[in-house]
Amino acid sequence: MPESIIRLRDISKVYEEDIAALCDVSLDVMEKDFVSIVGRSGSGKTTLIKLLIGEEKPTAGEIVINGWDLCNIKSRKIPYFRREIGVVFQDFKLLQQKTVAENIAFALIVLGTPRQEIHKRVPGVLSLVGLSGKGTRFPNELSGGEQQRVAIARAFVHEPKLLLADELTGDLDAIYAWEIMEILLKINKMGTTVLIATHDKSIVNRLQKRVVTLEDGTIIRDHKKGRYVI
Amino acid sequence: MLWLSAIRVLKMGLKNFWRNFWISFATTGIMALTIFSVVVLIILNFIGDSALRSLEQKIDVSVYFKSDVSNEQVQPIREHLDTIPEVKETRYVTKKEALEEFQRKHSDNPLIIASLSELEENPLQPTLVIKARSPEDFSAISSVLKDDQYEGIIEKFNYEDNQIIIEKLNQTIALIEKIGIGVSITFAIISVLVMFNTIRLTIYTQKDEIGVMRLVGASNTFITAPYIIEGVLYGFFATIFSTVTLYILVKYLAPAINTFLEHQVDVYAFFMDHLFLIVIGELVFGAALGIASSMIAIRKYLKI
Repeated sequence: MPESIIRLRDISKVYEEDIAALCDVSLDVMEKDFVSIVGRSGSGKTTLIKLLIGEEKPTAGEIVINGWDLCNIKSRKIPYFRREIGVVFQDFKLLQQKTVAENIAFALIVLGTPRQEIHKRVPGVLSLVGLSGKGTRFPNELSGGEQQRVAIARAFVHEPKLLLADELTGDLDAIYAWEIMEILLKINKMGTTVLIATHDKSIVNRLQKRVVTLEDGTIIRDHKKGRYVI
Repeated sequence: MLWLSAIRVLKMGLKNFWRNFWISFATTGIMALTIFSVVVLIILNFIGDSALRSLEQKIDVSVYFKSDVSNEQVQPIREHLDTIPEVKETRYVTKKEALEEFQRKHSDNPLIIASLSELEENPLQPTLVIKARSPEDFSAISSVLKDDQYEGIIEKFNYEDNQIIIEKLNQTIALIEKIGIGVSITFAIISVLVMFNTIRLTIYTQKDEIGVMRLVGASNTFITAPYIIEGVLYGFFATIFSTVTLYILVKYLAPAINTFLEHQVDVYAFFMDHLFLIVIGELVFGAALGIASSMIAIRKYLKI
């Protein structure tokens, strides 16, 4: 029986001047699930991702991710929590002066992974994202889709139990966007829980996976095999 | 894993240092100047102290008794002086001993010896030589000597000339110390500010890397340690800089300084004898300044 890897209870996030980004959000995501959080711009998707990676704390409610109570986590413990998840952003966040392989290796270096292990893992993950042979290229020599694959490779190289992605296909053409999704589906099949925040209708509809719809900071729909309906 | 991380952090710190070589060079220079001024202050202090001490050793109060005063009459004064805490030691020179000493001193001058033998009587006076613990104690001693009961047997005593010299030297040393401390503190503040700015610049140029490190779960120590190491490196290279400069200066200036101080002190010997201590002290001081600057920059710009 799969366990819940993400548990949100009555989460609210209010920014200054009483702007509520999220209001009473409760959500459970089981291990090995693939969930799309959909909604218009400003519906609270990005805020939710920020809460899920411990970048911000909720104003009220309870967040437990893979056993970590993020409402009461000490700031010095956040790095240890982050090692158990992988995060991909729309803007890739790649280091331009490092090659593709170095970008991926950098994630392992800061975690104290031995050199031999790094040499073993980097080609493996490059092949998983379809970038074998491009390890020595620099990010600016790659297309947007390829850069996003590097970002996914970096997020997955330490084999996290949960992969979070915020608008990762936002800037990509439909064909490249679906290729990225195929990589995420592969990662999900390998046993990693995947949660994406997106407003890409065609992708969500094609995925045929669980869809949680946010509107004005509240969950208005949660369908097991959902479609993008706003 | 800890060892591996330590090596990686060390490499990153070194890379930070070399990445902006000229900025690092200027920062190290300012730091070296700070360390240099502190060590010069210490050396000046040593020279001043040594000069003062040797002067203090040399000076004593000589009490000249009237020629007809007997040893028994001197004894109570000596005993009295021995009981007061300001007196370090007393030495009584009898008329006979004074004459012997005089003759020994002038044994190479036949004229003096001849004229002395012309005299029928020993012209020298019995003397009590008093050594005080510190120059300030002379007033206490003099008040004892000015006591009415001794008026009839003491002819004179002298100390005042020395006191003026000592006071002047004391004042000069205090002034040098004050100026030195002021200069050192000013340099220390400047070097902390310069180092803080350099490290801030490093943090700024690496903000993307820091962001990625946070994203993938690098520990706070792993993120901050390279900047601390960068600070320590400024201290380390500044120590080398200032020690080499000081060595050259001391080596070439020592003979002149020693001559000026009439060889009361040997600056070069002092420097070489204490070289290990000086270097360790410089390293600790430099590293402390570097770490302090890094910590300020980290707290302000890394938001750990």
